[in-house]
Amino acid sequence: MHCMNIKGWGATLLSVLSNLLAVGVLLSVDNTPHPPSETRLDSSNYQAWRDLIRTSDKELAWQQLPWVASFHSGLSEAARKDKPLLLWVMNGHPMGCT
Amino acid sequence: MGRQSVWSDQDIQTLSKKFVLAADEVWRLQGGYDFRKYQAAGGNDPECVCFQEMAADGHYGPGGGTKQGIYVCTPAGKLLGSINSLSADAVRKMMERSLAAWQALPEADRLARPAPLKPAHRWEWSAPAKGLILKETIRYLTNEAPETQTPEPRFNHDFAWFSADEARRLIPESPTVGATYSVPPEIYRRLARCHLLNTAHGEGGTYQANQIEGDLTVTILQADAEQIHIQLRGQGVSTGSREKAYGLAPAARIRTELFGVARFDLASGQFDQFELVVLGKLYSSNDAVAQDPVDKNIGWYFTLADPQHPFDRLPPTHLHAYDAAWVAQPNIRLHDYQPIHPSQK
Repeated sequence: MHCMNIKGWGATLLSVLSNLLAVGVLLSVDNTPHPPSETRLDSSNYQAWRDLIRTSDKELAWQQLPWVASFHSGLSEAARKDKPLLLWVMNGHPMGCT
Repeated sequence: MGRQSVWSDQDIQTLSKKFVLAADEVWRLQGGYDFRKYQAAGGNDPECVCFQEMAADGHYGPGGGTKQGIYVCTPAGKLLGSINSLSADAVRKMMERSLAAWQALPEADRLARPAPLKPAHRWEWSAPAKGLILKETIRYLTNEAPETQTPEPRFNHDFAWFSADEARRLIPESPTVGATYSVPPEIYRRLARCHLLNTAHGEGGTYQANQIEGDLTVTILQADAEQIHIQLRGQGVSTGSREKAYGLAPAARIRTELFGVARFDLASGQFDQFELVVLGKLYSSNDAVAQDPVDKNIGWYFTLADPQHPFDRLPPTHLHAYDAAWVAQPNIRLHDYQPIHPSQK
């Protein structure tokens, strides 16, 4: 069994929470995770958020250049093509998270 | 930033045809914070040592510290020019100077070839076969509805990896349409620790497992003999340490909300569709106080990486921090090393 069916836990959990609230146990700072109050991310709007976050082809114009993804591959290709190597290095791969 | 300010420049793109272009991650190549300590500790990866010797002649000189930037060298690794700049004009001038230096080289130097440079370790070698390889896009958002927002021009990319076994565990063994299941906590933990980070404008540190709260559930939308369609939902809070951290520290606090859809193909044992959107609120304080103002809104989008795209096979930036036995670690773990703070000298 990889995943645990959480149906059925709802009623039990609700009952426990109600009892705890009744004795004031949950009146301290709420550290439990809960969704940001202003957003409602669901099936009706996730595509709009996706379209806002994901990149356009224009934003990725620099990827049209023929980069190779490592220093050692670049040196090998420079030797084959008899060209100088231009190496771009950053904290985090420049083609990834940098 | 340089991706757009420099490499989208038309003159640079034209000039770049006279070079072979390569990009790489510098922390590994430079052997951590100080290459001299790396070499003294026995670090001798041929690819890294070649870079360290070349970069010692470059714009940041022979000492320790970052070696980020743009270098031009011969195929044997002899430096011709270097710079670290977001100015297309400055980079173009460096490229022109380097090209002139290349053309002025004696033929023997130009034709010199490097000794075999087979690296001892590269993170991409741990890519999980038949696993779930996701491309991640990170961008700051505003409080407005998505339809009314203009995308923030700066964004970032990363990649998230799950082994075939880990990906399979997103699907229950006997799925019932309409039922909701908790995803094994290690799946959410990896996302939250290593990927739901404040990295829209640059690298950010990871969270520890005990700094993560939250979960992810899967609802079975449709299932037949060939495919299983699922909906993903989750929420969480990640809270960084109050202690001052040297090096990269994660955001003080991030609250997240997750929603996605995916399709698992039973014949291949892999996901053939996957989309996950995560909206987050960044706080500058660790304290979970209701009145604490939101510092920034941020969004993450995960989708299947393109196996035909060479950069979609780059390793996750924080693969070194994955809690996964299938990740091969290097002999010298560079991410454990932090420079000594000046006050401790």
